[in-house]
Amino acid sequence: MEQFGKKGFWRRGWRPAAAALILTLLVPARVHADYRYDSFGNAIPSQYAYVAETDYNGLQLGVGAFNGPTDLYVDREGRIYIVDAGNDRVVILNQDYELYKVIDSFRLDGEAVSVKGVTGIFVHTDGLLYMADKSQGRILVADEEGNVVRVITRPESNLLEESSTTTFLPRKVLVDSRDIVYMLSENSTQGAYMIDASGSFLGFYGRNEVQLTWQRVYELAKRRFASEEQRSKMQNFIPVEFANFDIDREGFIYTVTAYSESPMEDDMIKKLNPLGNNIYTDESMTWGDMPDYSGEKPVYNTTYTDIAVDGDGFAYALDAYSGRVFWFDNAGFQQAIFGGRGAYLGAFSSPVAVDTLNGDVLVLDGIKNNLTVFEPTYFGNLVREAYLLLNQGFYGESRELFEEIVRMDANYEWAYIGLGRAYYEDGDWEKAQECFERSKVATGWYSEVKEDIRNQSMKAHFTGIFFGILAACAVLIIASKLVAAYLKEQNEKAVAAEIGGDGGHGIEKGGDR
Amino acid sequence: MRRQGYYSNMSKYMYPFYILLHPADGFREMKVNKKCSMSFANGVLVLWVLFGILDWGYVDFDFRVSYRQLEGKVNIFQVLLTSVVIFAISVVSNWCFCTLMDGKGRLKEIWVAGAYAMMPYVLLGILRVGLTHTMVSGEAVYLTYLDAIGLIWSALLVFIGLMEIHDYSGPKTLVSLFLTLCGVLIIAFLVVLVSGLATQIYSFFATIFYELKLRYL
Repeated sequence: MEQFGKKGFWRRGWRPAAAALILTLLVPARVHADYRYDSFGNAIPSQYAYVAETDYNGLQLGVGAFNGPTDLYVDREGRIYIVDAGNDRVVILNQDYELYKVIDSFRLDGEAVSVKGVTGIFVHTDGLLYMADKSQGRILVADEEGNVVRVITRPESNLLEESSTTTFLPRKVLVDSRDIVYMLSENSTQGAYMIDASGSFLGFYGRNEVQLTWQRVYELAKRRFASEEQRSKMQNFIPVEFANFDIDREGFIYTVTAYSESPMEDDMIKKLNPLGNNIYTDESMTWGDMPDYSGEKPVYNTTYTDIAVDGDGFAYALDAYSGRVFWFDNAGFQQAIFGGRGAYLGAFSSPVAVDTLNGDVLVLDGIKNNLTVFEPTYFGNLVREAYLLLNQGFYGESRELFEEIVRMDANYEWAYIGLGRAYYEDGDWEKAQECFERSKVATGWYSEVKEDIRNQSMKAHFTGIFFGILAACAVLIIASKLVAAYLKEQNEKAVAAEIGGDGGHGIEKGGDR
Repeated sequence: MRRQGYYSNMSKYMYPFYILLHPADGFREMKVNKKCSMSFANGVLVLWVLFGILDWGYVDFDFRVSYRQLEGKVNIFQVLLTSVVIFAISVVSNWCFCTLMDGKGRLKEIWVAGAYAMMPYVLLGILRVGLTHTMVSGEAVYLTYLDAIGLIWSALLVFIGLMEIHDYSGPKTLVSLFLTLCGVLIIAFLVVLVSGLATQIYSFFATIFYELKLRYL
């Protein structure tokens, strides 16, 4: 029997076993789960919004392995620029993820220029590559042939003092539609440098503020009583510098900050208007991961390293520590969190940059040396479409999509808000109120609907309400007069009785005072 | 001496409303003329419990701020604990200290005066819960005022009421209130201690019972 069994396995049984093995290897294992925070700050699982479909390394693209790539940029034509710093080159792919060009050597006035120290790249609409060269303290502007046409170094200006917070070590760079270059410098906490086309310094743009916490108040109080020597050893309160930024089609600049003590509440992600003011001020917005305080210190803090804004206004922020991508809708509300840390497809060892291409999300890993492509799922596309339709005013169409989203993921609070807004615009106020209440956060929207309902019913029943209030006032006045008259009469009777009859009765009774 | 005031013959169910606006005269007359109505006072306490329930589970959606309000599951024991139970403990504690401090008030009078004094807080609170269903979040500040008025009014009534009931001066009333607070904490501590001990004794006997049961049954 045993013999037969063994034989049976070797004769026939190996085929299904091998098939099963191959299938297991082929089907990508989903070891991570997408999640999202609900209004109570609990992480709850969500439907997959983006799924890693493929990744590309240098060998697959036919240019030899990448070596420590540092930044990624996708221009408006859909070309993907990868700074392959370790190999001293820039690799350009087209939007089908095929090799378009490799810039092997850069030349400045006939001399070769190294791009090994480049940590940030931006491609302007005129096709010029702006590269932040931290090691040389300059920004290189080159064309696609590798000719460096302009070098931006530290500008001379009265506005720019020499100090430890105004270093000129360009880490990241971008250019707006007015050809003004914005640059983030290593260790510079003043904000982004603004340098115009002629190379003169315009000022600093945006900056983080020091958050006033109780611990800081205590430190400040301690500082007052400290001697000069003690003071020099205390730590200074310097705002955290921006880690990275991106510019959207309308000229708004999105910034990310790498460190925060409370990653959910602090403005780790900002959308700055041309004046440099943050316009993401809604208090119900959440940014990073909730710190997991299982011990005394949080297990990890969200460490944003890059942000990308696509053409529709959706923002994707990359957490270098956990390898997660945080997805925000075009109003700045967190929709889903995907990615992770690990060696499998869709997880990262050292993610350095994120960008978007035709709805896909590209993440560059500096240790795995590859480019991962996340594609939106059916659910992710639904969410995108629904928000776009809602913001363009197609309420009826967006309502159908939001209903589908809610059907697929009944815990999706933001979808209930969208659904409620769609109902509200359609005039179905009762349903809108129900949806806003289900969302658990849309108190403002709920109030607006309530006010409309109230105004409408006031208009409809104005005469009734008006005369009702009049009648109630009249009844109250008359009743109080009657009661007062009755009491007065009773009192007079009692007084008369006491004076006439037993006058001493009260004295005996009230004797305990 | 029996006072011959304008309202001295008011029925004892009208008295609390007179007290709301004339606390000093009202509480003194209540004590002198023995116009304490236990049933009215207990009615106020029932309303207080009702207010606790309404404030927890029946505030309109755009005025729900706390986690427990959003969750919407009313815990009746917690409501009782934060209204009637704490009230009873405070009254007992106040009686204990004021008897030692030459207070003239009796337990029943303290109970009734305390309940009357809570009327503004409870009634305005119930009114506020009702108003949340017609007002919108932009008008929330008026409801906050309503809440604050109720609290301050009630606090003043408690202060004046105890002063009149015990025939105290103002500073002495403040001292007695502070001692009352300490007394509440002591009673709470004793309750926790006793309940903890009771649990241990119970589990001790329960263990013996199960031991015997497993061995002999």
